[in-house]
Amino acid sequence: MLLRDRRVLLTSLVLPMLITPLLMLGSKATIQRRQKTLRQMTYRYAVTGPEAASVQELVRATRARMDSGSKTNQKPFRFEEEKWEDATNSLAHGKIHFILEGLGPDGQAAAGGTNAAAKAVPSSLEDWDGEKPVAGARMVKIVFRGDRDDSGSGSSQMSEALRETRRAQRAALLQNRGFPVKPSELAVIDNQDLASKRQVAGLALGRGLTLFLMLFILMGGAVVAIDSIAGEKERGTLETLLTTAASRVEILAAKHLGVLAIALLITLLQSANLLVYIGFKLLPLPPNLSAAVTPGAAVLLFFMYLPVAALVASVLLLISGYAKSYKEAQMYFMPAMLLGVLPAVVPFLPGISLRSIIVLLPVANIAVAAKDILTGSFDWPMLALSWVVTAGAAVWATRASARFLLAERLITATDRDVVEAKGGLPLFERHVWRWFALLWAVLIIVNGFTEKLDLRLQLIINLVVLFFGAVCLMLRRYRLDPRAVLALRAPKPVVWLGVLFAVPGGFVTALGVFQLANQFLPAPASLMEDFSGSLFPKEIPFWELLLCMTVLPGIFEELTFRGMLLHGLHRRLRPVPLALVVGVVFGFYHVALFRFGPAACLGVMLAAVTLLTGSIYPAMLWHALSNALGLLAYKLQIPETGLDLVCYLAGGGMLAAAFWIFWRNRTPYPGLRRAAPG
Amino acid sequence: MTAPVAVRNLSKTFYDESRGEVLAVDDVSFECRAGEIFGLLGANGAGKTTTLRILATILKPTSGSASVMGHDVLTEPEAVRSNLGFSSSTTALYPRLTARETLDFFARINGCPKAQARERVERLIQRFGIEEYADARVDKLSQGMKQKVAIARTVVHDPPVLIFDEPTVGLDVLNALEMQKVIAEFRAEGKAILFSTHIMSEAEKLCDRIAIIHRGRIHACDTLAGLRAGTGQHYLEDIFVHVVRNSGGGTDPLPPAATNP
Repeated sequence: MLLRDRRVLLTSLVLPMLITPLLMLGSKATIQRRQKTLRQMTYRYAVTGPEAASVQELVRATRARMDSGSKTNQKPFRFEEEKWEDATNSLAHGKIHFILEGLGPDGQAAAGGTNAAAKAVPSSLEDWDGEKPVAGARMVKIVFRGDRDDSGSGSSQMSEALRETRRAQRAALLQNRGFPVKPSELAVIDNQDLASKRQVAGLALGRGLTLFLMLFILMGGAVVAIDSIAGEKERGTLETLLTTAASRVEILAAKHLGVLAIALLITLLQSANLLVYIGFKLLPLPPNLSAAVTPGAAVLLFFMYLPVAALVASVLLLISGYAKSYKEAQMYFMPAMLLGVLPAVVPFLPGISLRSIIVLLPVANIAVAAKDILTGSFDWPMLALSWVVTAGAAVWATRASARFLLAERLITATDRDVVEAKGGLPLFERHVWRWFALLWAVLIIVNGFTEKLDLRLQLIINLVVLFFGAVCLMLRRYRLDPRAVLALRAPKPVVWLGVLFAVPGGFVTALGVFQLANQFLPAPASLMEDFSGSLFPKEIPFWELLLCMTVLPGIFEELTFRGMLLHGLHRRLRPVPLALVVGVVFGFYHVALFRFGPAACLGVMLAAVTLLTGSIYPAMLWHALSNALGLLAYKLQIPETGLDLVCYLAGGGMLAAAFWIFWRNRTPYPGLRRAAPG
Repeated sequence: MTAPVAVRNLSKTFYDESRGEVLAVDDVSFECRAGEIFGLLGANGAGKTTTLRILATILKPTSGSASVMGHDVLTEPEAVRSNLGFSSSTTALYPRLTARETLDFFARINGCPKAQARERVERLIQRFGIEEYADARVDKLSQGMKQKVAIARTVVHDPPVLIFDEPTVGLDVLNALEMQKVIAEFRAEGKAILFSTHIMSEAEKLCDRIAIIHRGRIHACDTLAGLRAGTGQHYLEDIFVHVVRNSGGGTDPLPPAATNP
């Protein structure tokens, strides 16, 4: 059916198959032609300045050196002097390519080269063999136009040629003065690359592979995805399809598989197409490419890219479901493509490793994983985690697309449903995930800029500005009652006793979780030391640290997670999944991977106590005291790791006692999807 | 025993950007029995299509209930749809499929086993006289031919309940008459048929019972003879005007934005 549509065939298959190699060929040919033109050009220049004669002498020496060098296959560089009254004007009008200006000591001083002006030596004066200008020395200043290719190329070639001449003159001078060896014989600098050719090729390929594939997958899947919901809406066939016996999930699954299959097929065809061009030597084959892509690596890469393709297919269907028409869907496609390509360029960034927060970013993690695989580095737990995260994102996007198929706006002309119109809690419940995803992204970005700041300032920015700011925005946007949403209710007095048991019990349990997680995903010792150093800076008084690390998180993290997030989900999830989900999200917000386990564990416990007591205050106290306990343990140098079994059992016992107290005195959180157990 | 189609106190509220909440269907109740053509007669925007879409599980009711062959539209939507053939006011066919492929696709997606689907498709191709163009792409067919394919598609899985939402819109007289003949044949086969129209002559000729719907409410529901007796009017057009004028809600139907998007 798809193949009968010429538009689809043309836009998703034929055009990319022709255009992609042609673009690459065209771009390569253009660059080569430009380089050839610039290489074969005879550059015209003028010599000016009070030391023009010495510059001409230097140029003559250069020409002589190059003439002798040309016999040894040195690159030809042709240049000729022209006489112009107004050299600057000639340069501006393209009559010459550059000016060689000979400056005496005075002129050099004016350019910033004297000792007096040494404090403000322009950077351009420093790269003359890495030396700073010497007072009293003459200077050759090359004046050119950076907005013209030929001028820039000519000036840089002349600069290199003159520099080489100067090196030769200096060596000759030293030898004439009795220097025993040639300067080049002083020391030989050699580089040794320990990476194999396969690894080098793998790195080159791995950096760009995801970007290429993302473009193919996006372009391949887009036409089919847009047609499959937005197109059906426009044709009126969607209504008929939705009245068949097939369930919405079945319809969406079929559409998803269709988009996925077409996207993969087109990606394979495009890749094969490129290989054909390479086979005919129309495109150059990257050296050692075949060594980098072993059959095993190819299979693994295919497996790794499957969730990426599935995610792209889901997002494209999501766009198609959201748009009211084919045209509107096309309009959304371009920003989606840019956003999709963004994580694919992560491997180009230096120093990015899978053992970082990147492993939690869909597509970006697979891009880095692909680079690792191609360079022969197999961090299996991280590869698996990357796959799971991206596959999870694909599942989420697919579920969201399925919800669109249930939405009445697909069929009716109304833009908004009653929930959207009325706002309030139902709308907040619908939007809660996007708020927390956005907040997470903002937190990551802001942390990138604030990591060098004072810890106190970082905490204020993260907890007060971002978290509390987001809480206030959400309350205001949805006109929510703060008391109900944030569970600002006094608990039964006996609950406080439970909290006193819960703090050490929960702390030890979270440590146990960390130890357990460390068995599977060991955190490097250097990372732990860096983290401890950043959390406990010596310049901050301990009481201030205690205040910042206990009170602020105790209040603002609780308002955010056990307040807003928990309330946003409390009617959608049953109590146990609700506590787990709130805890896991809390864990994700703790950015560093090794902190995820203990933070998520604490988050689950805090959510549980909020659900059992119907109040956020016990969680606030527990959180603050738990952080205080961690700080005190650090201050008193009590080893937190490697506790013996008795400690863990005692901790578990205290935690159980605490929850027994909470349970016996429970005041369930109001309006839960199903009442709290019991 | 429950009628094949049973609607009880059905209401549907939409949100309209300019007017806020609009009650598109207001406390509608009716039944459609096997071997009966039940007509929903109303002006454009009266709430006919919304009611039918709720029965087809495309829209959810705000309140009230509706069932098809005993299956509730909210709790058993798949079962409802497997017992239902829905024909919208547009032919809504996939342009790149042939007539035969269209029928085969809808038979399979509605759960017909492959062999049975093939047999039914061939039978319908013969019954509707579309052998000549069965293998031509749908976008090459005339409007009348498309309408035949659309009707064949609606009944390809042999559902006990059929919904026709203004099926003769855009058809010439001959094709409209052909369509009416086919629908009457389905009644003879014992199917329960819901038929919405704003064309009085069509309703008069086809429907066993007629519900006059205006501003989302059913104001009269009876056989043609019953309506005549109740209103003292002979022609359905006069009956309709009489009922609407006496409905107390003015003669303007709801604006299309809210009810007939």
